[in-house]
Amino acid sequence: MSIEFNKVSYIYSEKTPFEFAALHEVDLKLSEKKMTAIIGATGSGKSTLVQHLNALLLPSGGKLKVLDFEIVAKQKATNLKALRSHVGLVFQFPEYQLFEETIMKDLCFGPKNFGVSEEEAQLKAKKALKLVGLDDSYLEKSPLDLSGGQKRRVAIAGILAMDPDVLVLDEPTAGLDPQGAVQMMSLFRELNQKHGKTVLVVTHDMEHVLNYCDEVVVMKKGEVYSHTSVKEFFQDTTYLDELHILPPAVVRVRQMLNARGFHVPADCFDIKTLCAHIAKEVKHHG
Amino acid sequence: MGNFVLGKYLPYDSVIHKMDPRAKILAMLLVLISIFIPAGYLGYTVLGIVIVATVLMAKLSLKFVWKSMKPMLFMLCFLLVINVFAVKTGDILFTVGTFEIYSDAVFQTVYIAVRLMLMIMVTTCLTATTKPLDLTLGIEDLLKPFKKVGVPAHEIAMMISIALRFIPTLIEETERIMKAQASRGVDLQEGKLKEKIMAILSLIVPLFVSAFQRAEDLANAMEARGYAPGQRRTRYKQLKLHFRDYALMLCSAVLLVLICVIAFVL
Repeated sequence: MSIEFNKVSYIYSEKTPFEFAALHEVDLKLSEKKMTAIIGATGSGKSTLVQHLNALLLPSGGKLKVLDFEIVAKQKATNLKALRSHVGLVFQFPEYQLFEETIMKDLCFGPKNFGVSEEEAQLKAKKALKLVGLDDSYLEKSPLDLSGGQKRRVAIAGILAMDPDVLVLDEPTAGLDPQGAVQMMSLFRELNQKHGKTVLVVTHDMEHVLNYCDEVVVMKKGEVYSHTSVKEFFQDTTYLDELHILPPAVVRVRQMLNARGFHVPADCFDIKTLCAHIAKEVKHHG
Repeated sequence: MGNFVLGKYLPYDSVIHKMDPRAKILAMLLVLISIFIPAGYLGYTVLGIVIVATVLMAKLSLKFVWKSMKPMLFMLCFLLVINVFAVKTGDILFTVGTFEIYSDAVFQTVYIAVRLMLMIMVTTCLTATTKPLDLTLGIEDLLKPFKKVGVPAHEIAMMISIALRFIPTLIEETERIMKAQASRGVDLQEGKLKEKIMAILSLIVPLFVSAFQRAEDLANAMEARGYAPGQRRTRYKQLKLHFRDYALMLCSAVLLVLICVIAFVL
Protein backbone atom coordinates (compact mmCIF):
# COMPACT_ATOMS: atom_id res chain seq x y z
CA MET A 1 0.00 0.00 0.00
CA SER A 2 1.75 3.11 -1.21
CA ILE A 3 1.90 5.56 -4.06
CA GLU A 4 4.65 5.08 -6.57
CA PHE A 5 5.31 6.88 -9.85
CA ASN A 6 7.66 5.00 -12.13
CA LYS A 7 8.92 7.08 -15.08
CA VAL A 8 5.47 8.55 -15.59
CA SER A 9 5.11 10.95 -18.53
CA TYR A 10 2.03 12.80 -19.59
CA ILE A 11 1.43 14.61 -22.87
CA TYR A 12 -1.63 16.79 -23.46
CA SER A 13 -3.30 16.62 -26.93
CA GLU A 14 -0.83 14.02 -28.10
CA LYS A 15 -0.18 13.92 -31.85
CA THR A 16 -1.81 17.28 -32.62
CA PRO A 17 -0.23 20.69 -33.31
CA PHE A 18 -1.16 21.64 -29.73
CA GLU A 19 0.88 18.79 -28.17
CA PHE A 20 2.31 19.68 -24.78
CA ALA A 21 4.37 17.49 -22.48
CA ALA A 22 3.40 18.25 -18.89
CA LEU A 23 5.30 15.47 -17.10
CA HIS A 24 8.70 14.00 -18.04
CA GLU A 25 9.47 10.55 -16.64
CA VAL A 26 8.50 11.38 -13.09
CA ASP A 27 9.84 9.03 -10.41
CA LEU A 28 8.24 9.58 -7.05
CA LYS A 29 7.46 7.48 -4.01
CA LEU A 30 5.08 9.04 -1.53
CA SER A 31 5.06 7.88 2.05
CA GLU A 32 1.85 6.57 3.48
CA LYS A 33 -0.03 8.31 6.29
CA LYS A 34 2.10 11.40 5.85
CA MET A 35 1.03 14.86 4.86
CA THR A 36 2.96 15.90 1.78
CA ALA A 37 3.03 19.32 0.16
CA ILE A 38 3.52 19.64 -3.59
CA ILE A 39 4.95 22.99 -4.59
CA GLY A 40 6.28 24.54 -7.78
CA ALA A 41 5.68 27.44 -10.15
CA THR A 42 2.52 27.57 -12.24
CA GLY A 43 2.80 25.22 -15.19
CA SER A 44 5.30 22.98 -13.44
CA GLY A 45 2.96 19.99 -13.63
CA LYS A 46 1.53 19.88 -10.10
CA SER A 47 -2.10 19.59 -11.14
CA THR A 48 -1.26 17.09 -13.87
CA LEU A 49 0.63 15.00 -11.32
CA VAL A 50 -2.18 14.85 -8.79
CA GLN A 51 -4.81 14.04 -11.40
CA HIS A 52 -2.97 10.79 -12.04
CA LEU A 53 -3.62 9.69 -8.49
CA ASN A 54 -7.22 8.79 -9.15
CA ALA A 55 -6.80 8.02 -12.81
CA LEU A 56 -8.50 11.11 -14.19
CA LEU A 57 -5.46 11.32 -16.38
CA LEU A 58 -3.82 8.12 -17.52
CA PRO A 59 -0.06 8.22 -18.07
CA SER A 60 1.26 8.52 -21.64
CA GLY A 61 4.37 6.65 -20.56
CA GLY A 62 5.64 4.71 -17.54
CA LYS A 63 3.59 3.15 -14.79
CA LEU A 64 2.04 4.13 -11.55
CA LYS A 65 0.99 2.28 -8.44
CA VAL A 66 -1.66 3.73 -6.18
CA LEU A 67 -2.56 1.57 -3.15
CA ASP A 68 -3.32 -1.85 -4.65
CA PHE A 69 -4.00 -0.50 -8.09
CA GLU A 70 -1.52 -0.50 -10.91
CA ILE A 71 -1.86 1.70 -13.97
CA VAL A 72 0.46 1.08 -16.88
CA ALA A 73 0.67 3.39 -19.89
CA LYS A 74 -1.07 2.14 -23.06
CA GLN A 75 -2.82 -0.65 -21.22
CA LYS A 76 -6.53 -0.53 -20.62
CA ALA A 77 -7.01 0.40 -17.01
CA THR A 78 -9.71 -1.44 -15.14
CA ASN A 79 -11.50 -0.87 -11.91
CA LEU A 80 -11.02 2.90 -11.98
CA LYS A 81 -14.17 3.43 -9.97
CA ALA A 82 -12.80 1.35 -7.11
CA LEU A 83 -9.60 3.36 -7.19
CA ARG A 84 -11.55 6.61 -7.10
CA SER A 85 -13.43 5.50 -4.00
CA HIS A 86 -10.09 5.16 -2.20
CA VAL A 87 -8.52 8.37 -3.48
CA GLY A 88 -10.51 11.56 -2.96
CA LEU A 89 -9.46 14.45 -5.17
CA VAL A 90 -10.51 18.00 -4.37
CA PHE A 91 -10.01 20.27 -7.36
CA GLN A 92 -9.10 23.92 -7.38
CA PHE A 93 -12.21 25.97 -6.62
CA PRO A 94 -14.27 22.82 -5.97
CA GLU A 95 -17.42 24.84 -5.27
CA TYR A 96 -18.24 24.49 -8.97
CA GLN A 97 -19.05 20.82 -8.51
CA LEU A 98 -22.09 21.45 -6.26
CA PHE A 99 -25.34 20.76 -8.08
CA GLU A 100 -28.01 19.14 -5.90
CA GLU A 101 -31.03 20.90 -4.39
CA THR A 102 -29.92 20.39 -0.81
CA ILE A 103 -26.54 20.09 0.83
CA MET A 104 -27.55 16.71 2.24
CA LYS A 105 -28.22 15.34 -1.23
CA ASP A 106 -24.99 16.76 -2.58
CA LEU A 107 -22.95 15.24 0.21
CA CYS A 108 -24.63 11.85 -0.33
CA PHE A 109 -23.93 11.97 -4.07
CA GLY A 110 -20.34 10.71 -3.85
CA PRO A 111 -20.88 7.86 -1.37
CA LYS A 112 -23.98 6.67 -3.21
CA ASN A 113 -22.11 6.57 -6.51
CA PHE A 114 -19.72 4.17 -4.84
CA GLY A 115 -22.54 1.90 -3.76
CA VAL A 116 -23.14 2.99 -0.16
CA SER A 117 -26.73 2.65 1.09
CA GLU A 118 -28.93 5.72 1.57
CA GLU A 119 -28.86 5.66 5.39
CA GLU A 120 -25.14 5.11 5.60
CA ALA A 121 -24.55 7.89 3.07
CA GLN A 122 -26.60 10.28 5.17
CA LEU A 123 -24.62 9.34 8.26
CA LYS A 124 -21.37 9.95 6.42
CA ALA A 125 -22.71 13.24 5.07
CA LYS A 126 -23.53 14.51 8.55
CA LYS A 127 -20.13 13.47 9.84
CA ALA A 128 -18.33 15.17 6.96
CA LEU A 129 -20.31 18.38 7.38
CA LYS A 130 -19.39 18.49 11.06
CA LEU A 131 -15.72 17.96 10.17
CA VAL A 132 -15.65 21.06 7.98
CA GLY A 133 -17.23 23.11 10.75
CA LEU A 134 -20.83 23.50 9.61
CA ASP A 135 -23.76 22.34 11.78
CA ASP A 136 -26.78 20.21 10.88
CA SER A 137 -28.98 23.25 10.21
CA TYR A 138 -27.27 23.53 6.82
CA LEU A 139 -28.35 20.08 5.65
CA GLU A 140 -31.60 21.16 4.05
CA LYS A 141 -30.29 24.39 2.52
CA SER A 142 -29.44 24.74 -1.14
CA PRO A 143 -25.67 24.66 -1.69
CA LEU A 144 -26.04 27.45 -4.24
CA ASP A 145 -27.29 29.91 -1.60
CA LEU A 146 -24.15 29.76 0.52
CA SER A 147 -21.27 32.22 0.65
CA GLY A 148 -18.07 31.41 -1.23
CA GLY A 149 -16.21 30.10 1.82
CA GLN A 150 -19.14 27.94 2.92
CA LYS A 151 -19.51 26.50 -0.58
CA ARG A 152 -15.84 25.53 -0.47
CA ARG A 153 -16.40 23.72 2.84
CA VAL A 154 -19.44 21.87 1.53
CA ALA A 155 -17.56 20.84 -1.62
CA ILE A 156 -14.67 19.50 0.46
CA ALA A 157 -17.17 17.75 2.75
CA GLY A 158 -18.57 16.11 -0.38
CA ILE A 159 -15.22 14.39 -0.88
CA LEU A 160 -14.70 13.64 2.82
CA ALA A 161 -18.10 11.91 2.88
CA MET A 162 -16.64 9.31 0.53
CA ASP A 163 -14.20 8.48 3.33
CA PRO A 164 -11.15 8.03 1.05
CA ASP A 165 -7.85 6.62 2.34
CA VAL A 166 -5.88 9.14 0.34
CA LEU A 167 -6.98 12.75 0.22
CA VAL A 168 -5.56 14.93 -2.54
CA LEU A 169 -6.20 18.68 -2.47
CA ASP A 170 -5.33 21.04 -5.30
CA GLU A 171 -4.85 24.48 -3.75
CA PRO A 172 -7.65 24.04 -1.21
CA THR A 173 -7.16 27.44 0.42
CA ALA A 174 -6.92 29.62 -2.71
CA GLY A 175 -9.31 32.53 -2.34
CA LEU A 176 -10.21 31.81 1.31
CA ASP A 177 -9.75 34.39 4.05
CA PRO A 178 -6.63 33.77 6.23
CA GLN A 179 -8.69 32.44 9.12
CA GLY A 180 -10.66 30.09 6.90
CA ALA A 181 -7.42 28.91 5.32
CA VAL A 182 -5.91 28.09 8.74
CA GLN A 183 -9.07 26.19 9.72
CA MET A 184 -8.98 24.16 6.52
CA MET A 185 -5.31 23.28 6.86
CA SER A 186 -5.80 22.27 10.53
CA LEU A 187 -8.67 20.04 9.43
CA PHE A 188 -6.48 18.27 6.89
CA ARG A 189 -3.72 17.86 9.47
CA GLU A 190 -6.25 16.38 11.88
CA LEU A 191 -7.54 13.95 9.25
CA ASN A 192 -3.94 12.94 8.66
CA GLN A 193 -2.94 12.50 12.31
CA LYS A 194 -6.15 11.27 13.96
CA HIS A 195 -7.73 9.32 11.12
CA GLY A 196 -4.50 8.08 9.55
CA LYS A 197 -5.22 9.42 6.08
CA THR A 198 -2.52 10.07 3.53
CA VAL A 199 -2.87 13.72 2.57
CA LEU A 200 -1.38 15.50 -0.43
CA VAL A 201 -1.71 19.25 -0.75
CA VAL A 202 -0.79 21.37 -3.71
CA THR A 203 -0.05 24.81 -2.33
CA HIS A 204 1.81 28.06 -2.86
CA ASP A 205 1.78 29.04 0.81
CA MET A 206 5.11 28.26 2.49
CA GLU A 207 3.66 28.97 5.94
CA HIS A 208 1.22 26.12 5.36
CA VAL A 209 4.01 23.86 4.19
CA LEU A 210 6.06 24.59 7.31
CA ASN A 211 3.23 24.42 9.82
CA TYR A 212 1.18 21.47 8.60
CA CYS A 213 3.17 19.17 6.34
CA ASP A 214 5.71 16.40 6.87
CA GLU A 215 7.29 16.27 3.43
CA VAL A 216 7.74 18.53 0.41
CA VAL A 217 7.85 17.63 -3.25
CA VAL A 218 9.16 20.39 -5.51
CA MET A 219 8.03 20.25 -9.13
CA LYS A 220 9.94 22.08 -11.85
CA LYS A 221 9.20 21.97 -15.58
CA GLY A 222 7.35 18.67 -15.39
CA GLU A 223 9.95 16.93 -13.26
CA VAL A 224 10.32 16.22 -9.56
CA TYR A 225 13.10 18.56 -8.55
CA SER A 226 13.39 17.44 -4.96
CA HIS A 227 11.55 15.40 -2.35
CA THR A 228 12.60 16.02 1.24
CA SER A 229 11.21 16.39 4.71
CA VAL A 230 9.89 19.85 5.57
CA LYS A 231 12.62 20.46 8.18
CA GLU A 232 15.40 19.63 5.76
CA PHE A 233 13.76 21.74 3.11
CA PHE A 234 13.68 24.96 5.12
CA GLN A 235 17.17 24.57 6.62
CA ASP A 236 19.11 25.42 3.50
CA THR A 237 17.97 28.88 2.47
CA THR A 238 20.37 29.21 -0.46
CA TYR A 239 18.53 26.30 -2.02
CA LEU A 240 15.22 28.13 -1.53
CA ASP A 241 16.64 31.24 -3.19
CA GLU A 242 17.65 29.11 -6.13
CA LEU A 243 14.04 27.99 -6.51
CA HIS A 244 12.75 31.57 -6.09
CA ILE A 245 10.76 30.55 -3.05
CA LEU A 246 10.16 33.13 -0.36
CA PRO A 247 10.68 31.19 2.89
CA PRO A 248 8.18 31.42 5.79
CA ALA A 249 8.45 34.36 8.18
CA VAL A 250 10.24 32.42 10.94
CA VAL A 251 12.90 31.21 8.55
CA ARG A 252 13.32 34.73 7.13
CA VAL A 253 13.78 36.23 10.59
CA ARG A 254 16.35 33.54 11.40
CA GLN A 255 18.14 34.29 8.18
CA MET A 256 18.27 38.04 8.86
CA LEU A 257 19.39 37.56 12.47
CA ASN A 258 22.21 35.26 11.42
CA ALA A 259 23.27 37.70 8.72
CA ARG A 260 23.67 40.32 11.46
CA GLY A 261 25.76 38.17 13.78
CA PHE A 262 23.32 35.94 15.66
CA HIS A 263 23.79 32.20 15.84
CA VAL A 264 20.30 30.79 15.64
CA PRO A 265 20.46 27.09 14.71
CA ALA A 266 18.97 26.04 11.39
CA ASP A 267 16.46 23.62 12.94
CA CYS A 268 14.49 26.36 14.66
CA PHE A 269 11.06 26.45 13.04
CA ASP A 270 8.63 28.15 15.41
CA ILE A 271 8.36 31.53 16.98
CA LYS A 272 8.74 30.29 20.57
CA THR A 273 12.10 28.59 20.06
CA LEU A 274 13.25 31.51 17.97
CA CYS A 275 12.42 33.95 20.77
CA ALA A 276 14.17 31.72 23.31
CA HIS A 277 17.31 31.71 21.17
CA ILE A 278 17.25 35.47 20.76
CA ALA A 279 16.75 36.00 24.51
CA LYS A 280 19.62 33.64 25.30
CA GLU A 281 22.04 35.39 22.98
CA VAL A 282 21.03 38.87 24.07
CA LYS A 283 21.52 37.85 27.74
CA HIS A 284 24.86 36.27 26.90
CA HIS A 285 26.12 39.50 25.40
CA GLY A 286 24.42 41.81 27.88
CA MET B 1 -13.23 17.60 -26.85
CA GLY B 2 -9.93 19.33 -27.53
CA ASN B 3 -10.09 17.77 -30.98
CA PHE B 4 -13.08 19.83 -32.02
CA VAL B 5 -11.78 21.59 -35.14
CA LEU B 6 -14.84 23.05 -36.87
CA GLY B 7 -14.47 26.82 -36.89
CA LYS B 8 -11.03 26.88 -35.27
CA TYR B 9 -8.58 29.64 -36.21
CA LEU B 10 -5.21 28.40 -37.47
CA PRO B 11 -2.43 30.97 -37.23
CA TYR B 12 -0.56 30.38 -40.50
CA ASP B 13 0.93 33.03 -42.72
CA SER B 14 -0.74 33.10 -46.14
CA VAL B 15 -2.24 35.57 -48.58
CA ILE B 16 -5.71 34.54 -47.49
CA HIS B 17 -4.82 35.18 -43.84
CA LYS B 18 -3.75 38.71 -44.68
CA MET B 19 -6.91 39.64 -46.55
CA ASP B 20 -9.52 41.99 -45.17
CA PRO B 21 -12.26 40.17 -43.26
CA ARG B 22 -14.97 42.13 -45.08
CA ALA B 23 -13.66 41.01 -48.45
CA LYS B 24 -13.46 37.44 -47.20
CA ILE B 25 -17.02 37.46 -45.84
CA LEU B 26 -18.42 38.93 -49.06
CA ALA B 27 -16.46 36.48 -51.19
CA MET B 28 -17.69 33.61 -49.03
CA LEU B 29 -21.29 34.73 -49.49
CA LEU B 30 -20.84 34.91 -53.26
CA VAL B 31 -19.30 31.46 -53.39
CA LEU B 32 -22.03 30.07 -51.14
CA ILE B 33 -24.65 31.43 -53.55
CA SER B 34 -22.81 29.81 -56.46
CA ILE B 35 -22.85 26.49 -54.60
CA PHE B 36 -26.62 26.69 -54.35
CA ILE B 37 -27.12 27.23 -58.07
CA PRO B 38 -27.89 23.86 -59.67
CA ALA B 39 -25.09 23.93 -62.24
CA GLY B 40 -24.67 20.23 -62.95
CA TYR B 41 -21.44 18.25 -63.10
CA LEU B 42 -19.44 20.90 -64.93
CA GLY B 43 -20.44 23.66 -62.48
CA TYR B 44 -19.53 21.62 -59.42
CA THR B 45 -16.24 20.52 -60.96
CA VAL B 46 -15.30 24.17 -61.53
CA LEU B 47 -16.38 25.12 -58.01
CA GLY B 48 -14.56 22.16 -56.50
CA ILE B 49 -11.29 23.05 -58.23
CA VAL B 50 -11.53 26.70 -57.22
CA ILE B 51 -12.36 25.88 -53.59
CA VAL B 52 -9.66 23.24 -53.16
CA ALA B 53 -7.18 25.73 -54.67
CA THR B 54 -8.27 28.32 -52.10
CA VAL B 55 -7.86 25.83 -49.26
CA LEU B 56 -4.33 25.07 -50.43
CA MET B 57 -3.57 28.75 -50.87
CA ALA B 58 -4.56 29.33 -47.24
CA LYS B 59 -1.92 26.70 -46.32
CA LEU B 60 -4.60 24.55 -44.71
CA SER B 61 -4.04 20.82 -44.96
CA LEU B 62 -6.80 18.82 -46.59
CA LYS B 63 -6.59 16.56 -43.53
CA PHE B 64 -7.68 19.45 -41.31
CA VAL B 65 -10.60 20.25 -43.59
CA TRP B 66 -11.57 16.60 -43.67
CA LYS B 67 -11.51 16.53 -39.88
CA SER B 68 -13.89 19.45 -39.66
CA MET B 69 -16.29 17.60 -41.97
CA LYS B 70 -16.46 14.54 -39.79
CA PRO B 71 -19.38 15.77 -37.65
CA MET B 72 -21.41 15.98 -40.89
CA LEU B 73 -20.97 12.30 -41.76
CA PHE B 74 -23.75 11.30 -39.39
CA MET B 75 -26.06 13.86 -40.98
CA LEU B 76 -25.25 12.51 -44.46
CA CYS B 77 -26.11 8.95 -43.43
CA PHE B 78 -29.38 10.26 -42.04
CA LEU B 79 -30.10 12.08 -45.30
CA LEU B 80 -29.36 8.99 -47.34
CA VAL B 81 -31.88 6.98 -45.32
CA ILE B 82 -34.56 9.65 -45.73
CA ASN B 83 -33.89 9.98 -49.46
CA VAL B 84 -34.06 6.23 -49.96
CA PHE B 85 -37.54 6.25 -48.47
CA ALA B 86 -38.81 9.49 -49.95
CA VAL B 87 -37.48 9.67 -53.51
CA LYS B 88 -39.29 7.35 -55.91
CA THR B 89 -38.17 8.61 -59.34
CA GLY B 90 -35.49 7.53 -61.79
CA ASP B 91 -34.43 3.96 -62.53
CA ILE B 92 -34.59 1.18 -60.02
CA LEU B 93 -31.01 0.56 -58.97
CA PHE B 94 -31.59 -2.54 -56.89
CA THR B 95 -34.20 -4.07 -54.65
CA VAL B 96 -33.83 -5.17 -51.08
CA GLY B 97 -36.55 -7.77 -50.56
CA THR B 98 -39.62 -5.98 -51.87
CA PHE B 99 -38.16 -2.53 -51.26
CA GLU B 100 -36.94 -0.65 -54.30
CA ILE B 101 -34.11 1.83 -54.24
CA TYR B 102 -34.18 4.40 -57.05
CA SER B 103 -31.21 6.02 -58.74
CA ASP B 104 -32.49 9.54 -57.98
CA ALA B 105 -32.36 8.82 -54.24
CA VAL B 106 -28.66 8.06 -54.41
CA PHE B 107 -28.06 10.87 -56.89
CA GLN B 108 -29.81 13.42 -54.64
CA THR B 109 -27.82 12.34 -51.62
CA VAL B 110 -24.54 12.62 -53.48
CA TYR B 111 -25.66 16.03 -54.69
CA ILE B 112 -26.38 17.25 -51.16
CA ALA B 113 -23.16 15.68 -49.91
CA VAL B 114 -21.10 17.53 -52.51
CA ARG B 115 -22.83 20.81 -51.67
CA LEU B 116 -22.30 20.31 -47.95
CA MET B 117 -18.65 19.45 -48.43
CA LEU B 118 -18.06 22.51 -50.57
CA MET B 119 -19.90 24.71 -48.08
CA ILE B 120 -17.85 23.43 -45.17
CA MET B 121 -14.65 23.93 -47.12
CA VAL B 122 -15.56 27.52 -47.95
CA THR B 123 -16.60 28.40 -44.42
CA THR B 124 -13.52 26.68 -43.00
CA CYS B 125 -11.44 28.83 -45.34
CA LEU B 126 -12.99 31.86 -43.68
CA THR B 127 -12.92 30.81 -40.03
CA ALA B 128 -9.50 29.14 -40.13
CA THR B 129 -7.83 32.18 -41.68
CA THR B 130 -9.58 34.99 -39.82
CA LYS B 131 -9.20 35.75 -36.13
CA PRO B 132 -12.62 35.71 -34.43
CA LEU B 133 -12.19 39.36 -33.48
CA ASP B 134 -11.44 40.41 -37.05
CA LEU B 135 -14.40 38.40 -38.19
CA THR B 136 -16.76 40.32 -35.92
CA LEU B 137 -15.21 43.62 -36.97
CA GLY B 138 -15.93 42.63 -40.55
CA ILE B 139 -19.51 41.64 -39.77
CA GLU B 140 -20.08 44.91 -37.95
CA ASP B 141 -18.81 46.94 -40.88
CA LEU B 142 -20.83 44.99 -43.40
CA LEU B 143 -24.00 45.43 -41.34
CA LYS B 144 -23.47 49.19 -41.02
CA PRO B 145 -25.54 50.14 -44.08
CA PHE B 146 -28.50 48.32 -42.52
CA LYS B 147 -28.30 50.46 -39.39
CA LYS B 148 -30.67 52.96 -41.02
CA VAL B 149 -33.40 50.35 -41.12
CA GLY B 150 -32.88 49.52 -37.45
CA VAL B 151 -30.39 46.65 -37.54
CA PRO B 152 -28.29 46.87 -34.34
CA ALA B 153 -25.02 46.19 -36.15
CA HIS B 154 -22.69 46.89 -33.27
CA GLU B 155 -24.73 44.88 -30.77
CA ILE B 156 -24.90 41.89 -33.08
CA ALA B 157 -21.14 42.03 -33.61
CA MET B 158 -20.51 42.33 -29.88
CA MET B 159 -22.78 39.37 -29.16
CA ILE B 160 -21.01 37.24 -31.75
CA SER B 161 -17.56 38.13 -30.46
CA ILE B 162 -18.54 37.38 -26.86
CA ALA B 163 -20.06 34.06 -27.89
CA LEU B 164 -16.92 33.12 -29.85
CA ARG B 165 -14.71 34.20 -26.99
CA PHE B 166 -16.49 31.92 -24.52
CA ILE B 167 -16.65 28.71 -26.54
CA PRO B 168 -13.17 27.51 -25.49
CA THR B 169 -13.78 28.68 -21.93
CA LEU B 170 -16.97 26.67 -21.69
CA ILE B 171 -15.31 23.59 -23.18
CA GLU B 172 -12.55 23.88 -20.59
CA GLU B 173 -15.11 24.33 -17.85
CA THR B 174 -17.04 21.26 -18.99
CA GLU B 175 -13.90 19.16 -18.88
CA ARG B 176 -13.10 20.42 -15.41
CA ILE B 177 -16.54 19.66 -14.03
CA MET B 178 -16.55 16.25 -15.72
CA LYS B 179 -13.30 15.44 -13.97
CA ALA B 180 -14.49 16.75 -10.62
CA GLN B 181 -17.63 14.64 -10.81
CA ALA B 182 -15.69 11.62 -12.08
CA SER B 183 -13.64 11.73 -8.92
CA ARG B 184 -16.95 11.64 -7.02
CA GLY B 185 -17.75 8.37 -8.76
CA VAL B 186 -19.74 9.59 -11.76
CA ASP B 187 -19.39 7.33 -14.73
CA LEU B 188 -20.60 8.95 -17.95
CA GLN B 189 -20.01 5.86 -20.05
CA GLU B 190 -21.60 3.07 -18.08
CA GLY B 191 -24.50 2.66 -15.72
CA LYS B 192 -28.27 2.40 -15.85
CA LEU B 193 -30.47 5.05 -17.43
CA LYS B 194 -31.28 6.64 -14.07
CA GLU B 195 -27.60 6.85 -13.19
CA LYS B 196 -26.83 8.32 -16.60
CA ILE B 197 -29.44 11.04 -16.20
CA MET B 198 -27.99 11.81 -12.78
CA ALA B 199 -24.51 11.96 -14.30
CA ILE B 200 -25.58 14.40 -16.99
CA LEU B 201 -27.44 16.49 -14.41
CA SER B 202 -24.31 16.68 -12.27
CA LEU B 203 -22.56 18.15 -15.29
CA ILE B 204 -25.23 20.50 -16.63
CA VAL B 205 -26.29 22.20 -13.40
CA PRO B 206 -22.80 23.42 -12.44
CA LEU B 207 -22.14 24.39 -16.05
CA PHE B 208 -25.25 26.57 -16.15
CA VAL B 209 -24.52 28.07 -12.76
CA SER B 210 -21.02 29.06 -13.80
CA ALA B 211 -22.10 30.28 -17.24
CA PHE B 212 -24.68 32.61 -15.68
CA GLN B 213 -22.14 33.72 -13.11
CA ARG B 214 -19.66 34.49 -15.87
CA ALA B 215 -22.27 36.37 -17.88
CA GLU B 216 -23.12 38.52 -14.90
CA ASP B 217 -19.47 39.19 -14.06
CA LEU B 218 -18.74 40.12 -17.66
CA ALA B 219 -21.74 42.46 -17.86
CA ASN B 220 -20.66 44.17 -14.65
CA ALA B 221 -17.08 44.46 -15.80
CA MET B 222 -18.21 45.99 -19.09
CA GLU B 223 -20.49 48.46 -17.36
CA ALA B 224 -17.78 49.37 -14.87
CA ARG B 225 -15.60 50.33 -17.80
CA GLY B 226 -18.31 52.55 -19.19
CA TYR B 227 -19.67 50.34 -21.95
CA ALA B 228 -22.95 51.56 -23.37
CA PRO B 229 -24.23 49.87 -26.53
CA GLY B 230 -25.61 52.93 -28.30
CA GLN B 231 -22.55 55.11 -27.98
CA ARG B 232 -20.19 56.05 -30.77
CA ARG B 233 -16.98 54.12 -30.39
CA THR B 234 -13.62 54.52 -32.01
CA ARG B 235 -11.50 51.55 -32.93
CA TYR B 236 -7.89 50.69 -32.46
CA LYS B 237 -7.83 48.45 -35.49
CA GLN B 238 -8.87 50.16 -38.73
CA LEU B 239 -9.80 47.91 -41.61
CA LYS B 240 -8.46 48.93 -44.99
CA LEU B 241 -9.13 47.34 -48.36
CA HIS B 242 -6.08 46.56 -50.47
CA PHE B 243 -5.69 45.49 -54.07
CA ARG B 244 -5.75 41.81 -53.09
CA ASP B 245 -9.12 42.30 -51.37
CA TYR B 246 -10.70 43.85 -54.46
CA ALA B 247 -9.17 41.05 -56.51
CA LEU B 248 -10.73 38.43 -54.22
CA MET B 249 -14.18 40.02 -54.45
CA LEU B 250 -13.90 40.39 -58.21
CA CYS B 251 -12.82 36.77 -58.64
CA SER B 252 -15.71 35.46 -56.58
CA ALA B 253 -18.16 37.66 -58.50
CA VAL B 254 -16.76 36.31 -61.76
CA LEU B 255 -17.11 32.80 -60.41
CA LEU B 256 -20.77 33.43 -59.57
CA VAL B 257 -21.44 34.77 -63.07
CA LEU B 258 -19.60 31.83 -64.60
CA ILE B 259 -21.68 29.34 -62.61
CA CYS B 260 -24.86 31.19 -63.64
CA VAL B 261 -23.84 30.96 -67.25
CA ILE B 262 -23.11 27.23 -66.93
CA ALA B 263 -26.43 26.65 -65.19
CA PHE B 264 -28.82 28.75 -67.22
CA VAL B 265 -27.24 29.36 -70.61
CA LEU B 266 -25.39 26.14 -71.48
